[in-house]
Amino acid sequence: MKINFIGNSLPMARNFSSKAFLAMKLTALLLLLACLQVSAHVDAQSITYSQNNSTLESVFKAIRKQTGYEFLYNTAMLERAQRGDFTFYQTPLKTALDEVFKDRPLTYTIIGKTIVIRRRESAAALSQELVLTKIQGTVTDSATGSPLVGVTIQVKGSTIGSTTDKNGRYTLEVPDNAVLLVTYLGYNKKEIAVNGKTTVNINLSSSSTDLNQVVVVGYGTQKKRDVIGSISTIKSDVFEAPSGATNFNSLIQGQAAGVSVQSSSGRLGASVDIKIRGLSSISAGTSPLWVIDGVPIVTSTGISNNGSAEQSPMDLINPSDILSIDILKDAAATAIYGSRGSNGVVIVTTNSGKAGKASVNVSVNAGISQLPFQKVHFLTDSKKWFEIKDEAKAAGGLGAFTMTDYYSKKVYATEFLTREQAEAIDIDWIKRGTQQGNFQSANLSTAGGSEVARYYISGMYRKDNSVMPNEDLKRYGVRANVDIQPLKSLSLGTKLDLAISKGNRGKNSSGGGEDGNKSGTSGGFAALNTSMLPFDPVYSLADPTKYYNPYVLNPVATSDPANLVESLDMYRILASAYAEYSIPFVEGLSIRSEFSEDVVQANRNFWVSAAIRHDGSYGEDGATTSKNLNYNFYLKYSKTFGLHSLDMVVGTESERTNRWTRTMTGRNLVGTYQQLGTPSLIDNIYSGLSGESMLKSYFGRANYKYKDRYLAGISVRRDGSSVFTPDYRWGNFIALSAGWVLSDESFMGHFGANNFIKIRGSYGQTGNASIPGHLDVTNYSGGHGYGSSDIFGTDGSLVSSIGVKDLVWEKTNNLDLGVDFGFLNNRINGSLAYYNKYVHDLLLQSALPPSAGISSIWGNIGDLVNSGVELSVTSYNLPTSRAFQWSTTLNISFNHNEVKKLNPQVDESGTGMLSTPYITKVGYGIREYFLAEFAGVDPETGLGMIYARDQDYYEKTGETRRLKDDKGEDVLLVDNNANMNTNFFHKKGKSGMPTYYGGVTNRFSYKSFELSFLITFSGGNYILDNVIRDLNQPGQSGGPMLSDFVGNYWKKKGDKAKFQRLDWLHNIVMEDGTIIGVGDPRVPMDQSLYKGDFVKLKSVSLSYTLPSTPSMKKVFQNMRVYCTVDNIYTMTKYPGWDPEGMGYVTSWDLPQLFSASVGINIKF
Amino acid sequence: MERPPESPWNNIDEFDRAPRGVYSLLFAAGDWGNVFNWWYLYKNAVGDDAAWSTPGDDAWGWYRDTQNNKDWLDGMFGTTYQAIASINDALQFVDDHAGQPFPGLSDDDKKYNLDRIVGELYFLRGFAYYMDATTFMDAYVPGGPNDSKQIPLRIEPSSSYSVAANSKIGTVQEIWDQIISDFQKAHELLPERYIAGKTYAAYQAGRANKFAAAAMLCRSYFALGDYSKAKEYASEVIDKNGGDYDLSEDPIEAFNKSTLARGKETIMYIPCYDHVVGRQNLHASCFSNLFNGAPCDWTAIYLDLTVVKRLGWMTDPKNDTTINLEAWKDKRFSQLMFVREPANVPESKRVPGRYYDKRVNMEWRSILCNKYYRGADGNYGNYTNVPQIRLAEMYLTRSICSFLAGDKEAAATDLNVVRKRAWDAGVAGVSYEASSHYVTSANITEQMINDERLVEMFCDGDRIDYLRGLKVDVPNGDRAPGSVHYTDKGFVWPVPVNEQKLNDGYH
Repeated sequence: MKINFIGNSLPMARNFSSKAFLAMKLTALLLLLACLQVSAHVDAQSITYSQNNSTLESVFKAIRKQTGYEFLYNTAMLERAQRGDFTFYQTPLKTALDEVFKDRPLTYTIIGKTIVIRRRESAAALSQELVLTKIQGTVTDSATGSPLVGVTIQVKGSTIGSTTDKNGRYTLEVPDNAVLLVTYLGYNKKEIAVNGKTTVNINLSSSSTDLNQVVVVGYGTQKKRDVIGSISTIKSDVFEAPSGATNFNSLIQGQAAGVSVQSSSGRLGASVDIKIRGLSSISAGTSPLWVIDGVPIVTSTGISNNGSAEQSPMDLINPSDILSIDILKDAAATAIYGSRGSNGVVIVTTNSGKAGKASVNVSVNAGISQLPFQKVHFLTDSKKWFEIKDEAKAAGGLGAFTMTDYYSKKVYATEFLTREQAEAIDIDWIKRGTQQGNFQSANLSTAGGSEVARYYISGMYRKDNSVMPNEDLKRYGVRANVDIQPLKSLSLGTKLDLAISKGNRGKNSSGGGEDGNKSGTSGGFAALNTSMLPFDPVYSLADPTKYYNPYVLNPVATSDPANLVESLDMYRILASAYAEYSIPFVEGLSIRSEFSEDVVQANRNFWVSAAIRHDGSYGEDGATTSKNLNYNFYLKYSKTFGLHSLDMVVGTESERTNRWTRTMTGRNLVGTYQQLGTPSLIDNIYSGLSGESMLKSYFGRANYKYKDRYLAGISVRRDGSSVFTPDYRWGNFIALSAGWVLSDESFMGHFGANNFIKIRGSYGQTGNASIPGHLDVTNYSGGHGYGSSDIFGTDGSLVSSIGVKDLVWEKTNNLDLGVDFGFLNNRINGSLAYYNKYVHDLLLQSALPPSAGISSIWGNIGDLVNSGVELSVTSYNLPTSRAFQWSTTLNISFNHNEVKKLNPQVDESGTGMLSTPYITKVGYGIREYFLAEFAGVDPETGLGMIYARDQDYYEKTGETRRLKDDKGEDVLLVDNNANMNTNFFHKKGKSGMPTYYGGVTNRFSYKSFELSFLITFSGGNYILDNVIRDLNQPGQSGGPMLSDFVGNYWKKKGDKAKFQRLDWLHNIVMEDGTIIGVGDPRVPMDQSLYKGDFVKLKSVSLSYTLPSTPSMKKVFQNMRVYCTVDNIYTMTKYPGWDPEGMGYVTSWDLPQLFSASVGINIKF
Repeated sequence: MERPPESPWNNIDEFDRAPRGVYSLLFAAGDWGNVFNWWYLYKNAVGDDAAWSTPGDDAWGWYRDTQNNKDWLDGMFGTTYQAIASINDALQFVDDHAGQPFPGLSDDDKKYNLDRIVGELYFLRGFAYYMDATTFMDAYVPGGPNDSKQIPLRIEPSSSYSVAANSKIGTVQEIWDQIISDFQKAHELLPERYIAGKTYAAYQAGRANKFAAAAMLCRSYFALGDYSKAKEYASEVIDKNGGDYDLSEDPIEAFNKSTLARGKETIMYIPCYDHVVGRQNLHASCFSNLFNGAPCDWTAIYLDLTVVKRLGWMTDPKNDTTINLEAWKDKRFSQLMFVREPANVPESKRVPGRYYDKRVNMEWRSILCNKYYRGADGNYGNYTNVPQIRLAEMYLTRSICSFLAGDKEAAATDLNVVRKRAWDAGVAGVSYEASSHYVTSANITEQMINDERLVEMFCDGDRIDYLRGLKVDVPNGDRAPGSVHYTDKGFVWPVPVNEQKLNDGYH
């Protein structure tokens, strides 16, 4: 085919090479034909624009926004064009264009949806010819393999273009060496060199940065470009790869600026701690509000497993169902949620069906897990252990350590080793008591529909076996999302998620060795770390078919399913329905109503047999039914008036939450299956309603936009919550916001044309009503029996809390200033924000003196501020035309918190509020430590020393400082109990709260391969670890020792030792025979205070998409295989298992696990 | 709301929960958490009648090292005040309703239940303060100022943070005045005994009655050095109890009850036989022989060897293991004590059925208390009720009060009642009256009464309170030669650090 080409004045991008330019000219004939074909359509478009001294680019932008037409031109050409005064009001596009180009050396041509600008004289230059080649292909979603309909494929630098049909297919005639520019709303732009191929299949990945991307906000959606609140969006690809994580929300870690995600436990389904922009309260709730498809959900069952981490009901949400997660952070975004907005809002949107061909997606994953590579090192040499104990006891003049000493408090021991036997055993209990975990999962989903009805239906299954024996978790779930549009003006829909989990949880307690495992909670990871000695055998030496000392503490015996049941079943029904009606006679007005209920039923059964519990079998049966019922009704109005756009929501919402709890405990169960038997002794039966609260709200929001670049918004909410007394029940929350798309201004010139800058800010108020109900009345606890159960009515009551009638809302004034940017045609994009959250009337459970009879009381006690900066940047590091692609996403957040005010009633003296081991004091951060200060080991005496506090100065000023002697030197004291307890220091700046955190994701792709790795980090916090403290005090107990202790304790005069000399049962016999009693040394001291900073190689994922061939297409559309490795390496100075999520540590639980998994995803 | 908050007590039966919760809290927390047992464990430990098997183990205060914090005492402090807070709230509830929280009560309900419940609440508040006063307060000095502020005095419920965090700190005098006042109100309101059909059924399980209040008044006045008043209330218990209490049974009878039955001398007891609501305290094993029915190998307290020698039970305790006949004549030795053999006896020489200490340092015989886990009632045998107030104590208090008042005859009479009950005529081969143990006004001495009480009340947490009430020096026992003044700070445990930090009343 021969085609005549326009001359060298064909429009082009500025960076387009002249050679390529020449090769891609269009024929004048084609232009003319195209022009004729589209003229009728053009006439239907109209333009409204008014600007004096306007650049042509500004006019083009306005046209593009109002009509959707794209412009193609040489920027340099436009720079030479003079400015002009333009005023159009609903002017037809063609008329407007004619006006714009009138008397200018430029003219235009419309091809499809593209307006091509060129010099007038070049229209006649139609002399060259070029051969075009026909190519074809399919454009698919890289994640799902689904064909994408309506994708624009254009030859870069030309007007040759096409769009994909309903099957995602396209055909195009292109010149040699053409580069295809592929664009699609919501997806990353892609450039692909044709390189002589005739079939070019294209994968597009969804974009989280596209300015036209739709962002879910409270009670509606907005285009990302128009959003003036601080919102982070996480797309489904984060949740796609197989992972050892058993809770989807842990995968948010490192993905969103300002969002701290910390998992402190590797237990199956353990909850994840998520904080948005710092800790906004001390005692009231600090977790964000979770909303799934408009439903505020239940996030806890209230069932703990006396020793092991709670299984969060969040793990019943299938990550494969998630389309996106939007995290609302500032008042502009959250004020619409009023009293529930102070801690931020996380909105989860699940997949919906789309009109078109039905698709079926199948994915199967499997993996293994094990303890992380960073381990805690224990002394596993039994002989060495005995030597140290000998030394300790001999120092007390009591001779050598004997097995009698060892067994002295193990009164339920049934087998007694000799020392010779013991010394011959060396068991690494961490290794012995754990196993390799594994998991398998399968997901099946189908989506499709028509213009009238669309559906998304999915099913999931996952089975996890923990690294702890007898611990597993099975989950099943189905979801059906159905949307129906029976009338043009009416939409109906329902989302139904049913999920079940069944699991065995196991125990986690190092206690029980002395009392015959009376509570039945002995065992688990804590026991392996802090109770088991290298010479404790698993099986009896006398009879290897039996366990060694099963009553005393044998983690293998207590994890034997024949001896212990700790099962938890959960059932979740998350159901919602909506109806939306567009009122026909008022354009842009619709009404919508949503009704939803989330019900989580959790059934726990705990049974321990007489084989591991000395006092007979014991059983607990517990159940909770947690409900969250929500109803809302609101009006939506959206309308553009010329240059003005208005988007409004007004509505009302009601919510009721409650939980019904039942527990039964009994002993000596009798029955065919003992776990299900009748208890001979009933310890306790309880049934009651707890946590009931109601919320009634009225809300509204208006967003106004002028000229598509001046943005303003207001949110208003009035909430009434039953957790407050009637006088203080209602609260009003208002937020104002504004934004300015700076890059659209004419003065930004060509910079503005190729870059995007939006400045935004908001100020508003949100509340926090996350406190228990009934705080205004004195509460009583039951279950305090006295006498005998054979007498009627032995139960007693005790005061459990004092009623406080004047509690008011904790309110947060939230200032947010930010800039969203996209440079180099969006190759570098992101946002930078500053926030300041000032919490008034801080709700705090103040510690009371023990004589008050209760430990704490609620009150509005002061003010707190969180301020910080957060940055998120995504960079496409290589030109998108290359086959090898590399992108980097970084987010980092810095948070500073400070107590601004404490009421005199809680801090009259100015010394701060003390709640061991923390101090809350004006001018300092929350959770700063208040501890004894270790001054090292005295080389002369071998005694641990602490710094003395200047008590007079403390009394006068409330400040802690070291006491100096006459020579100006620090006064040191022996670190005995009394000294430590009376010489605490405020460890200023050392808090349990991280001050910075974030993540870096790098993605590489080459052809069908994709590699990504995520590094997360967090720091600025300190960890006070009492477990390590106790492990370094071997004189206090017969427990294990850390390797670090063995060679580092004081032995002789002059030793510069890390740890003090050995003691025997709290007493140290000095060389001169005097005995120094140190009392109970378990006092908070900074010797076991560690930096909590860490950098973690969190995950590495590699995927490969099989090249599509015609024969494969007959079977499936797309196949992708993955492998992922999680929790690979952690850099930290903390000597425990994992610093993540740790603050004040009093016991160890299973850390996050290393896992490796593979998976396959097939799209049919 | 589906369930709006309501009063925890909507009728008189429900109001019985108020004292029951406090009884449970103070006396029946069970396992390792029973603060009542912590209290008498520390008392047992600091007395001069206790020797110590585990050198270096200062967890229990035997070293009288009150400068060192003891977690259990912190727990006891907090728990007693938790009890006080609940009582204050319940008493306020009655006051708020002008003394008639449940209008329309029958006269019987008013007397046997409402008054009785209020009486119990006063009794329990007095008891909680008594526990704290005898642990955390200086000894009362008769005629002294007793005006140092020592422990919080809370007699009204806290209604706000400022009240809860800023209490009055009572002086020694004020606290004892409060204790006396509470026991007197209890004494006025409490019935003499449980009456089936009239008194709420749960009341029969060892709970306080008028005589318990009188006995506590006796103890309290004795602590103040007011021996006249102490004698007056002891007499009421001894002479006016309507036949409910006497010393007609063997000493063991008070300690081997596993049902609602009580020993004839027991005025008040903790029902411990029921695993559900009355659980034995495991800490008792630190000073008593048995732990869940088996010999406990960590029992730390044994009878001080100076005392053993003074009683004539052993002649040369550390070197000669012979137990003299003098000991065997005393039923309290044979029934409520236990002989633990030395650890260094070779296996070949060990006598079957005897218990040999496992601690190598214990190279001599030791005599242990054996009052707990004594029942023989099948499944519940290991969990026997714990007597809190016994009639023998009243006799011995009256005896010393009479003696100090110069009435040696009365003193001898009361002492003989206790001695005779303990006398094993079968072993001695002679009746008590005919024996040399029989006391007359001519030969009675204060030491006799004191030693009799030491044996009778061994490990009942009495000895230190008795000596401090007697206002005499407290011997050091096995710790060191000599004695210390009864006001010695070694018997006064510090108010928990947290209390001093958080209670503005201390600042």
